[in-house]
Amino acid sequence: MNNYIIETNNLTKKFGNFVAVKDLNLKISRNKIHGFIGPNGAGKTTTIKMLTGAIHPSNGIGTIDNFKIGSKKGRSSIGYAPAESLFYQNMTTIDYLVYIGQIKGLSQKEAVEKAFSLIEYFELDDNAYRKPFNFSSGMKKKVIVAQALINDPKVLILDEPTANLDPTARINIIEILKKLISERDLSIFISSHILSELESLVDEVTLVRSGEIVLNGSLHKVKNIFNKGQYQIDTSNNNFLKKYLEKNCNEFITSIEENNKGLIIVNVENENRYKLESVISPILSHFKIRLLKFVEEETSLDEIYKKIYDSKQNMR
Amino acid sequence: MVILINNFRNLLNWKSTLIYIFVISIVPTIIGFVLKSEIYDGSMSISSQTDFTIGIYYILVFMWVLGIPFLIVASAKGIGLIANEMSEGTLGLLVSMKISRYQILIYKWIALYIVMLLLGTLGIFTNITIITTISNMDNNIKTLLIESIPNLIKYLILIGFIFSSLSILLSLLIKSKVVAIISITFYIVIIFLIIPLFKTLLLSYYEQYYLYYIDLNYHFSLIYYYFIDANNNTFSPAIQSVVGNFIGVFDLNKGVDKDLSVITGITLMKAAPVYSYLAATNLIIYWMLFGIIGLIVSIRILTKRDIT
Repeated sequence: MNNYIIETNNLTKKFGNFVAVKDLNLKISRNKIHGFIGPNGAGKTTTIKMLTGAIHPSNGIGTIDNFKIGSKKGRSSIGYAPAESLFYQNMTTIDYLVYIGQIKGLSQKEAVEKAFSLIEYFELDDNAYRKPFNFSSGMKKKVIVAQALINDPKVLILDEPTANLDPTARINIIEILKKLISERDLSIFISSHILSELESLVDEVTLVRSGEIVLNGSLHKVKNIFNKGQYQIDTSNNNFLKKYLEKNCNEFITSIEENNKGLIIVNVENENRYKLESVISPILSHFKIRLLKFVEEETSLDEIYKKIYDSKQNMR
Repeated sequence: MVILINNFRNLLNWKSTLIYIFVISIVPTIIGFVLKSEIYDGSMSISSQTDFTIGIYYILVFMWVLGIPFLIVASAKGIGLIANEMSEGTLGLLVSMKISRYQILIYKWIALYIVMLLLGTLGIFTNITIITTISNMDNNIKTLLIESIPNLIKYLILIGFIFSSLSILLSLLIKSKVVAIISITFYIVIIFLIIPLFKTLLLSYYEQYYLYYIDLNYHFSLIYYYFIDANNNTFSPAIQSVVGNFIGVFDLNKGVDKDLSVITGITLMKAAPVYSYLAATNLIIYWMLFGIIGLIVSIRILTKRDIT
């Protein structure tokens, strides 16, 4: 079995002369949460619609669970929650979920059972017989994510799940997604431009701009690229260690200081990070100093995003 | 299947069906009272009563019960089937599921077709019930009207097939639902009102430029006559002249009895022949093919289209 639940090769979509997505090579690992990040107009929704089969690619190919994207088998592996929550005006929540369940191949009995269990899971019990068409945007989003899960998909595709939601609803949806991730073996492909939210959810990221990938990989790897080489060190003898490093490691340490909490803050050039990491342990063991904390200050996704897009902007 | 059931329920909701039946009942009610006061007042022979009633009844079914309002309402429902899902964005979600696009279209079309058959049949029965109840007509005439039902339903099956396919196709070709409904209303009015008028006034141009090939009123009325003729209803010359103005199949010019008219000094009619520009059976095949091709083209369009 392929390691990737979603894989695309030079996926391209043109609308007339406008290239919405260009030569996209996506690799989404199984049972991972993959963030698909980019500003508005970056081609995120077009890519998702190609994956779900709503839009035909102009060029390139792709697979979902080893089936061609857009094919019936490919579509049966996904649960898709679009950015906009769209409902039939005459259907109640339960009607809607049962309807979607039946279209997705469940029997009526199965669809009803599944719909009620999702209603319970998403805490929609009081609204099961109300029409989602009239719900608040947060409640609508719950129903739209619930419908995506009704066929127990292998991959859940969420297009901007927190877009147009108020802060409370946004937190609520994020909490539900966290719960889903912790409880189910699901691959999730989630697009967003709100990075701070994705940071706590995703394992892998792909950053896109103007229909092209600018960066992708595991969150750890991406962050590593952008980490500033700043370390926080706390030991049983910070004073001694600081002086020792200042005296003996000044050829690769850019600066060293103590912050107001008494922690040592060491800055090194990126290429010297491994040197610092390799000398610390022998020093501590030689001088019998106990290590309490040694962490590299992580660059947030927001900062990475800003750096990439600022640099692209400057290049123009 | 669930798409078929859901669309069927939406198309045939109680409120709109009752409104439709109310509107459809207006003309039969008026005609029922007119028949009662003008024809069944006792001064006309049974033969003439039968003649007039059958003639008026067939015009009413062609123009009204299975004519303008029926086709406009049914087509408007069909146009909304795809157009609504497109404008509301639900089609994008639907096509991402484990169902083929052609299945979505076919289920929607079947739902529409069944609804058209039900509304048409309901219209035919409502029409007969109202006319017979109000006019207090002779039982033999009632029997004749009731016997016509199977042949009217045959016509309904054909016209329902054509217009359900056409409206689905229009809903895919014209993005605005309003524009699509206005377009189909315009064509229906042209078919049933404007063309017959044009034909009566400018018959020489009509034949010179072979306009009968595109005269849908002639096509549908010839098919209609083909079905109702199976009942062996013979229209009297007087009724032919009335019916002929609405159902453009009778060559009324050839129905004038010139010899008798010259002798008596007034225009007298004899049985007029049916225009033989085209054969009814060929037209049935042609329009069946049109409906099938319309469906195939619709499937092709929906399959190829990007649902943005």
